[in-house]
Amino acid sequence: MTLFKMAFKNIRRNFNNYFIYFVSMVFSIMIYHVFTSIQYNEQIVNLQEAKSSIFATFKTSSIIIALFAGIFIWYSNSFFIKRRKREIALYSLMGVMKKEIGRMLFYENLLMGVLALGTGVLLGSLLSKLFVMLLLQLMGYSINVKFAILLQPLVNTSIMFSILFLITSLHGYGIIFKFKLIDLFKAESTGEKEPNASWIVAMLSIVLVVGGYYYYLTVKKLHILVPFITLALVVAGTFLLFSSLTVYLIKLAKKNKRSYYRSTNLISTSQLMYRLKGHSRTLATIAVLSATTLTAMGVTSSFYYDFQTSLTERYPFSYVYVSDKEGLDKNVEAVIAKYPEHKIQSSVDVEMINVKAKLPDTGFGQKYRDKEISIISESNFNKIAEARGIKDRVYLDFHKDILFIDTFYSKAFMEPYKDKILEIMLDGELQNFHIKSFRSANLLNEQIADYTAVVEDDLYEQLHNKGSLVWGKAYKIDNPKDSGELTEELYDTLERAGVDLDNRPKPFSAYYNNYRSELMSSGLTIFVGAFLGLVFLLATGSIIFFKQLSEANEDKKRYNILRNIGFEKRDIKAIISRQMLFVFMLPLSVGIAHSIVAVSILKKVIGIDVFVPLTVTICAYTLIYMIYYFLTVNSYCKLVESRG
Amino acid sequence: MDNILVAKNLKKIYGSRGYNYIALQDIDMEIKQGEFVGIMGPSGAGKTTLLNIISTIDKPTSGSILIDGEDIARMKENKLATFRRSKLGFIFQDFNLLDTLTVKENMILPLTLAKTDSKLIEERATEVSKILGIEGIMHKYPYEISGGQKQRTAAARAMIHQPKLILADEPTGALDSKSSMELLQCLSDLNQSNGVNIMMVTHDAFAASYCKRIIFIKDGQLFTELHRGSSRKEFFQKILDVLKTMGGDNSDLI
Repeated sequence: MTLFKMAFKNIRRNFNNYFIYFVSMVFSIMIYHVFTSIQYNEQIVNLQEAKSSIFATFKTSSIIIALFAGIFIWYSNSFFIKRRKREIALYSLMGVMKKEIGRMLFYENLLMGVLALGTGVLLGSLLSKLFVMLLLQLMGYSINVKFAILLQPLVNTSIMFSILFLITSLHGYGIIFKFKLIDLFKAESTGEKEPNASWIVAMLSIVLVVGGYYYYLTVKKLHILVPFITLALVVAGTFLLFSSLTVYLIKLAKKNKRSYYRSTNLISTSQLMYRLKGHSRTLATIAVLSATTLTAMGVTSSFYYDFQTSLTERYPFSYVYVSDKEGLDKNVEAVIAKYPEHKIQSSVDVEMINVKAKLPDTGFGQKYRDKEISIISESNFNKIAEARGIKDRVYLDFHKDILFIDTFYSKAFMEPYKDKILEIMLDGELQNFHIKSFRSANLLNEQIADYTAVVEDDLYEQLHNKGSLVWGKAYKIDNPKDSGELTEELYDTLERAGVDLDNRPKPFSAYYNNYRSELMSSGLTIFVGAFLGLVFLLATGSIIFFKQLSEANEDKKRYNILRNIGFEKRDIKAIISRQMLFVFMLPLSVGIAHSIVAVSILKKVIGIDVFVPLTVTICAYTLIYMIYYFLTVNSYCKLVESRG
Repeated sequence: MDNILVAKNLKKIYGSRGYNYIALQDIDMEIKQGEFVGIMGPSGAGKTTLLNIISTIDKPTSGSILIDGEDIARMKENKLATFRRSKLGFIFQDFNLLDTLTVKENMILPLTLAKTDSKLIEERATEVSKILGIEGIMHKYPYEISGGQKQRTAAARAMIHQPKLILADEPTGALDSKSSMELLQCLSDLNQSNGVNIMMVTHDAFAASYCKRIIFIKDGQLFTELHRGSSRKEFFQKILDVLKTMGGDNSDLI
C-alpha cells in the first residue's frame, strides 16, 4: 500500500474525529471566499457612494479571516497529531521510518486541506449571490443581483489557503520528529498531584479583573493608554482567575460535605478541579477570545441598532438650509409642493449671526478653541424647538448669560462647559459671555450650526450688525426615508439659485442623504461583523471541543472504574454533562462579563443604547456556543462508553 | 443458613452461527451466609466468565442465578445497575481507584451514589477504615500510598455499603507477598468477625488457602470442591493436590 493510499484510508476511517474540524475549516474558507468575491463584484464595487470603503473593509476582513483560520488550522493540526501519538509510535515500532510517517501525515493534511478548500470554494461560489443580496439588503439597496463565478477570487482563495495548508502541514511533519518511541511503553502517569491554589493569587485575580473594570468605567478622561491598561489588567486577571480562583472555589465547595457527598457531585467536582487546572490556559484564552468576539459584535450591532434613533437626533429636520441670500424658501417650497407624498409637516424660519469666537478651555487642546460660531436669539431657538416637537425652551434673564451648544461635546474627553466663559469676537475684540447652560444636542441638523450661542432677544438685536447674517428655513416632511428624488431636485434648485453647496459650515442638509450613507456603512459593518464573529465563534467552539475530546481518551479508564463499581449510564452521562457545562460556561460567562463592560462604554461616550443589541448578540452567541456543548457531551459520552 | 447466591444450570455460549464456544456448562452452585468462597481453575476454564455473570456485567445464555432471592439473569439494565451498586461490592486486581479522589472519597463512593446522609457517611467511613487499618491515610491520594494500602482501600469501598456479596477478582495479583498476606488476613477477618460474604477468584493457591471453601472449575464445568478443615497449611496442601490432578497448564498456578 502506498503512503498516499494509507493517508486516504486514515482520513476515511477517522472522519468522525475530523468532522468538526472540517466544518469549521470549510466555513472559514467559504466566508473568506465570499468576502474576496465581494471585493471583485462589479455590481458592488460600482456602487457610487461606497467604492473605496467596501473594498477596503472586505480586504481587511478577509485578511483577518485568513490569519485566524491559519492559527486555527495550526492548532487543530497539532492536536490531531498528538492524539494519534500511539498510532504513530506503533508505525515506528513496526519499522516505518519517521520520514515516511511524516510524509503520510503530510499527505493526510494536504488531502483534508484540498477537500476543505474545494468544498469551501464551491459553497462560497454558490452562496455568494445570497450573501451579496443580504449585504445589499442591509445597506439599503434593492438591486437585482447577478449570479457570477469570478476567476480572480477563486485564484485568490485557492492560493491563500494552499499556502496556509502547506505551512501547517509542514509544521505537522515537524511534530512527529519530536515523538519518542519510549512514550508508547511508558506506564500511564501515576496520578497527578492535587492542584494547589493559594487564596492570595485567587484574590489577586479578582482584584485585577474588578480593578480593570473599575478603572475603565470610572476613568475621568479617556486617553490613548486607557484601553491598554484595562486590557492588561483584565487579561492578566482572567488568566489568573482560571488558574487559581476556580480551583480555589472548588476546594471551598468540597468543604460542604452535605452537597459534596451527594450522589455524583463527588466525582464531577473533584475531576473538574483537575480539568480546570490542566486547561486553565485554554479556558482563559477562550474567555478572552469570546470577549473579543462579543465586544466586536456587540459594538457593530449597537451601532446598527442605534443609527436610526441617533440619526433622527442628529438630523431632526428633513431639510435645513441656511444662506446669506434671502427669499430662497419660495423656491424650496415650490419644489416640495411637486411631491404630494412628501407634504410639509412643520417648518420654521431661522436667522443666525455667524461670528468668530474662542471656545472655553475644556482641556482638549488649544488649537480646537478658535471656531466660527452661530448666534441665535432665544425666541428663534424656542420656535425651532417647537417645530422639532421637543419640549426644550430657553429663558435667559441676564444680558450676558448665554446657552451654548457644542454638538461635538464628549463627556468622556472634555470638561463641562457650564459656567465657563465664551469669548466672542465683536468689533475686532473678544467679549466675554457667561455660559449659563449647555446642550450637546444640536439644534438644527448636524453640520449646520455645530457651535451655537443662544442669546437673549435684546442682545441679539444689538449684535445684528456685528457679524454676517444668514437666513434659512428648516422643514420636516412626510416619508423622508424615500425622498431621494425630491432631495436631488432640491440640491439642483439651490445650486441654481447660487448657493455654494460645498461651503463650510454647510448651507444645506438633507436627512435622506445622511440616512442613506449611514444605512450603507452600518449595513456593511453589521454584515462584516456578524460573519467575522461567526468564524471566530466556530473556531473557538472547535478548540474547546478538541481539547475536551483529547481528554476523553484518558478519562475512559476512570469511567470504566465507575461502571465497574455500579454507576449507571445515566450517572456517567450526568457527570460528563455537569463537568462539560462548567468547562463551557465558565469561559463564556467571563467573556460575557468582559464584553458587557467593554461595550457599556459606548453608552457613556456616545450615549447610544447598547442593552438590546448586546443582549441579542450575547443570546445568539450563547446559542451557537451551546451547540458545541451538546456536540461535545455527545461525542464524549460515546467515546467513554465504548469499551476497551 | 440462608443462601446468598444460588446458580442453577448456568450456561454461557459465545459466538453465533457456525462457530460456538462453550464457556460455561451446567454450573450449579450456591453461596451461604457467612461464606468465603474461592474459585480456582486453569486459564480458560471459565472463571472470568462466571465472575462476570455473577457481577451482572454479562448475562448467561441460559440458566438462572439468584442473588439475595432476585434473579439477575432476568433483570433490566437499569435495575441491574441499581442492584449492582446496592447488593454487590467489587475488588479488582488493579485496584480501580480514582486518582482524583482521596482514599476516603474513594471509599465512600458507593454511599454517595445511594444518596446517604453525609453524617452517616462519615460514621461508616471511620468505622470501615478502622476495620481495614487505613484510618491513617484517609486524606492521601492513591498515588501516595502502597499497593497493599490501595487494595485495602478498594476492599473498604467494596464493603462500605454493606453489600450481600463481595466479589474479588485476583485481589492479590498486583501485590507483593507481604501485602498479599496482610490483605488476605483482612478479608478473612472481615468474613469471620463481620460476617461479610466473599467470593474470590484466584490463580494463587496460597491466596485460596484463606478461603473456607474452594470451587474448582475446568473447561467450563465444575470439577470439584474443597472445604477447609482446621489448619490453613493442610488446606493449602490439599489445594495443590487438586490442582495437580486437574492438570492442564499448571505452571502459573503456584
